[in-house]
Amino acid sequence: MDDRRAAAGTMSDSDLIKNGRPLRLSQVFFWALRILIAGVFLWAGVAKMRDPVGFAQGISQFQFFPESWINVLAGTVPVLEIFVAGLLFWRPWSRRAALLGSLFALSFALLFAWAWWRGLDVQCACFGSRHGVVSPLFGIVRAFGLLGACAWLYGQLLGRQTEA
Amino acid sequence: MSLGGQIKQIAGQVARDTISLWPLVLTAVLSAALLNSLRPNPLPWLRLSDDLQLAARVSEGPFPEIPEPGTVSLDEAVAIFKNGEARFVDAREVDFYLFGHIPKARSLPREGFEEVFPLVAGELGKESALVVYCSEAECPDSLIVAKALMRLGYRQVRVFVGGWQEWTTAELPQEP
Repeated sequence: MDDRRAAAGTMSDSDLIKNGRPLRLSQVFFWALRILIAGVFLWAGVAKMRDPVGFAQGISQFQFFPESWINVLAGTVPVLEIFVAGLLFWRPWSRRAALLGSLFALSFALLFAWAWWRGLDVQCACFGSRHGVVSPLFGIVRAFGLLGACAWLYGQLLGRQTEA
Repeated sequence: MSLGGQIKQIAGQVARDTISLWPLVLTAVLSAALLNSLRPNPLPWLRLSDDLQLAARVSEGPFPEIPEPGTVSLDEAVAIFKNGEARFVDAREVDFYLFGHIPKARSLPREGFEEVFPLVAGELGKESALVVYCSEAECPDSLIVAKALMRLGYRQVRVFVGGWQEWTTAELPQEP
């Protein structure tokens, strides 16, 4: 049974390890990316949570959200980012966590595109408020990198959970 | 299944997963509220504008509603500099001020406003005519500091929009 599942590629990674079977390169990449994305969101969430005022200023610089939303976002976004980091490793929610990560990355890309269109040089505040001004183009490229990684992970998790 | 059917199926799954995120978002909002209430200085849910925040650092208010400050072009700034009819206020960080500024300009950085403002207040009366500038046209600090000064009772405050970049590009005098 295990042999058939392993051959079909539907055995979970933890089962493969338990059965002493080597992980395929794609599975190593899958886990490395999962850990990397979780690390990025954890770092971003903790840094913002430690300096909510700085993060609120960072959001404000984009001149996109109404003033009344800014502190609510500054309080909630870091918590959600930490949730994404943790839930990526909890099977019932891992797929949705990857989706939420993708939505965050897409939002960041759109915000930087907005700043670029408006000609704003903004302080990113992506990892706290002490990271200086970044060019919106760099912000867009970085956000699309994160979006690609999160979307790929979501696709993988969707495929695996559908097969299981 | 055709490609169109597969795309439709994936889009449907993404939509269902997105909708099912609501308990997570609700939990995050409640957790954020709880964490915020435990902070020594909780973040107010309704945010004050940047100029009001600056003013609130040095005075308890109440602060008046203010109009947008007037602006000054480079030519007007040069005329003001020559006839001395107003005092320039540099809203950039102190390091930039020390590196170079409009002669006789007073440093009043947005960062560290609460430390420097008491000194400035002793030096400049509320009837003084002030022209605030920062590094260039896109920087927000001159407008924020100007509005904070207006909230604090300064009546004749204007903003030199082009700022230090326009001043130096025109090769005008500078200190030190």
